[in-house]
Amino acid sequence: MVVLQLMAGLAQVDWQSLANEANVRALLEDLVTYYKGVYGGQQLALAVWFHKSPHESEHNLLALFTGPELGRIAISERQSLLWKTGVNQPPFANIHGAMVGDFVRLMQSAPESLNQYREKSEAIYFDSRLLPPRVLQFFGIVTKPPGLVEVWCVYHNEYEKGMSVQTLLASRRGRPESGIVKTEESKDFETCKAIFHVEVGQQWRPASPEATMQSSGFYSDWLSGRPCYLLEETGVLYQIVKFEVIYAPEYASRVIERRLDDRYLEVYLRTVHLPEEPAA
Amino acid sequence: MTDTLRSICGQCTYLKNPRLDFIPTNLARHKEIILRDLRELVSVASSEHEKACVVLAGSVLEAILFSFLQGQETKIGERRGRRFAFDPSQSLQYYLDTFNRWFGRDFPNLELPDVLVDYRNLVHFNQQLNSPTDECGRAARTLLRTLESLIRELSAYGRTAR
Repeated sequence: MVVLQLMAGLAQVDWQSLANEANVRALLEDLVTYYKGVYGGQQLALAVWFHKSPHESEHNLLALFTGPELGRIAISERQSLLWKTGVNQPPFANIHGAMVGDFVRLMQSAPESLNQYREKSEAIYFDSRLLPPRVLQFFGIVTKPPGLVEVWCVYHNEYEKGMSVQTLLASRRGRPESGIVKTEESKDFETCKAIFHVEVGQQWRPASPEATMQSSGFYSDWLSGRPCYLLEETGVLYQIVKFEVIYAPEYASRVIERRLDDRYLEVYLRTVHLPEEPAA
Repeated sequence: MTDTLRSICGQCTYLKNPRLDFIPTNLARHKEIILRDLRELVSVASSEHEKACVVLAGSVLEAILFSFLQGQETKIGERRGRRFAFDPSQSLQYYLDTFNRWFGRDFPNLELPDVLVDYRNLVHFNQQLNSPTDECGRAARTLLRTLESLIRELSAYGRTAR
């Protein structure tokens, strides 16, 4: 019965439309790849396919770059998406180009003029390091689940040097290597349980239990009985108490991309209180 | 004391005996370079040379992704709905993103997070200056383990894909 329902569902899918959409997306991505490398001092920060209508012969792309403001959104009409082959034939794209600063200014001064860019829109490319969070929010680009806290790992040999939290934080200026989403916390905030995350493609996703067990040094340390710690950006330091792989379909609502097998790596943490200043 | 590079290497059977069958036969030069770099990687890791290990492991990571993706142009084209032309002038971040996007679901036991690019970039002096003092060791250990997983998973994929 289930198989019949599945087959009936598949029969109703408009495969031609899906193929058209994939084709146009691929052509726009080729153009975006070109934009990423062509302007020396300006970096492509965002490319949005808006007014999506895959069966049409004309498409619309908003491209935001870093650099000095132009004071407007420049529109370049009917660029053939088959430019690589040297022909000027459909499908075409109308390119709306601007600097990130221009877009942010318009968000304040004339937000209604930007509404068209999020109508039936899809972000083809983004670099979250080059965009203010409000631009990401405007386009509904979600890079982390609610409540995600980015953390750095502190190995026991570093911890045992007796550093203060400030010193540990000061030495961590790069990208945090992991993230946690708390699922339970004690009333005194001393212990908690959290879903372990990693950043893949600028999005914080629940970690693969097997991959973490095989590749992470802190898992290996924990397994060998060596203490390991996680440091929050806010300065809260946790000791890893244990890891557990759990089957939890209910966690689908707490992550931005559920794991296909609904298995999650959960970490149990205990707050560690370090002195404010380095030990003498 | 956390795991040493030597002890990690001791557990990495695929790093020490790589087969690289997932690289197409027409890319023999790719395979030759990767095999040479893997031999050197095992050698410097066994000697606890952290920086040399990061440089070589980062280079091998890029080379493996480069070679695998180059050999998968047809499959990526099928999945994206239009011909895919491999671009050899792109960055490690691009190869990582391309791999994760088109093959991420084929490898549920493999994870190539964005932070690997930062680890590889420790080859740049400024990146090293702006990192914690033990970052090189941490990067070396993670890159070694990740490479072991990557080669193991791609080797199995190469066998099933044939």
